[in-house]
Amino acid sequence: MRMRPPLALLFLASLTAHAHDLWVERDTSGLTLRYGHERSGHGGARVLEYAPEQVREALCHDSDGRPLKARVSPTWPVRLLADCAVSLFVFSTGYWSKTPQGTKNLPKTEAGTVFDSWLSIESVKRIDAWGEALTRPLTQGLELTPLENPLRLKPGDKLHLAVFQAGRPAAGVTVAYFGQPRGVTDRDGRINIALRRPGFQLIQASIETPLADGKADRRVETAALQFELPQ
Amino acid sequence: MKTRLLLCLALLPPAVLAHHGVASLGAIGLEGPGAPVETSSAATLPQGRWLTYLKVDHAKFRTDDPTDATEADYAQYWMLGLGYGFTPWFSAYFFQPYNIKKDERDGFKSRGFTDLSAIGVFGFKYDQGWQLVPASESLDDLMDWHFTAYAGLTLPTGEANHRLRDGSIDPGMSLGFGKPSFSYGLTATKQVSDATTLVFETGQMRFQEYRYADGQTMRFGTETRLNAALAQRLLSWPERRLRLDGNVELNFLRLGRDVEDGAKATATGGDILYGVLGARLYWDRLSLGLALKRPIWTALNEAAEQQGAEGKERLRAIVTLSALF
Repeated sequence: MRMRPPLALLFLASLTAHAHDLWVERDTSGLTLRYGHERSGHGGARVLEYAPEQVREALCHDSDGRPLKARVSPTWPVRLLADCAVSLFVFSTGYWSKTPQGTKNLPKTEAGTVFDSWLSIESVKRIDAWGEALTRPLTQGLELTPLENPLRLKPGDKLHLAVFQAGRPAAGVTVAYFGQPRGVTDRDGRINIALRRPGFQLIQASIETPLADGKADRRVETAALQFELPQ
Repeated sequence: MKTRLLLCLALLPPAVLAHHGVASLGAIGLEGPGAPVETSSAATLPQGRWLTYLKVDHAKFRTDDPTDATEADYAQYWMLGLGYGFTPWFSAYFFQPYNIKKDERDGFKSRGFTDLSAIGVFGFKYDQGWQLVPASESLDDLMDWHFTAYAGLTLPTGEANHRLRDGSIDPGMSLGFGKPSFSYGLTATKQVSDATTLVFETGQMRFQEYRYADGQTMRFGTETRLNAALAQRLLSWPERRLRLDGNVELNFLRLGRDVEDGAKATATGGDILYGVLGARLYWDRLSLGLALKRPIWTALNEAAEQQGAEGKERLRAIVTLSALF
């Protein structure tokens, strides 16, 4: 759904103010999915524990975009035990309903009186090696895709990227850098974001669409792109 | 003759280009580059969007002799504008000025609509190469150098042969130039940080000779301007969609000498450097600009005889209001 830009910005601002971030940490044996605030500077607990079953997908690809088989650890924190050029995790805390008693982690059919309800889907993609094939999306979900090798950039450079949904360019999607909205995608799904910091990079996009499954009013989908620049 | 240059300035269309800073609000909320009040910023209108604009410029003059009834007391220039974004990189505007001029003791001597002006603005930017302004830019794209080239003309819709109470025609008090005048220029904008924007502008306005109904001819001197400005975001209330910027500007104006009946006219022309202090308040898609402007350095050709002309203002108070829809 295309939103008018000012509304989209306000929406993302409110979303990021309350949401947690996903990020992926790399070590010598694999990649670990983290959840919390450590990377974005939000308040609250820095690293939160999550239920492993909330991780719906854990994907590993080579730099040509080909999927690689990788073992996924079944306990918290979820780990991909492989040397992935690109790792992608899809995470969902499920249905949420806003009620007079507060926000409940339930579909609206089970929450009583409901003012608002949504299904939350989050994903994070980490890039550690680059190939031209990675300019295309790897999934059918909301996904941020660099249009150039982001690992060659330096602080101050602009990253040219595109947002896809269902494999097609998504127009009018708000994109943020470390939680701060920087603009909306054009009709080709493209946007340019300046990399203002060295080291860890976190670019996020968010979109909401009406949901017709009867369990919530809308689907709120956020996607993050992560990579690292030289310090 | 002393006030004729003011007429020229009042009809200058490029100056109003500074005032659609509201455009950035529509695109990216409360963020984005600032826009000074007098210096034209390098901005085009979003494609398919309209801009309405109102400017009031009240100039109060220094008077040398309180007993001289012909000395100009004040002049007030109103301007209504309408702009449209044909493409992301090309906008066109029409402006209709309305002038009021008053001498010290003589009451109103000149009042009415003057020449309609039309102007086209072509926008481009530099981002790893030159390109036209695209339809959609992120806040980071807006921090690139942006430029506009503009050209326009006035149409002789005003009454050039406006007669004063005594039946005479004073070109300086006329309500039009009689013939089209032409303007062109360049602007550049660079947002150097989230809160600070630099703006530069240079331009010229050229006039044709016109023969008035009483037989006299006049060709107003060419106007050349070189402006620099800094816009600084002071306050922002995102929840109320309000933003307040402060502006500091230096406006240099070189006025060529008029040519009257084929001869160079005395008491016309010179160089003026204005200082401008202003503020701009954004609210949703509206923008209110306020500024005080006064000469801080002058080199007028015959300064002692140019009361009521540019460079002889005690103070100019400027109010602008623009809305994007």
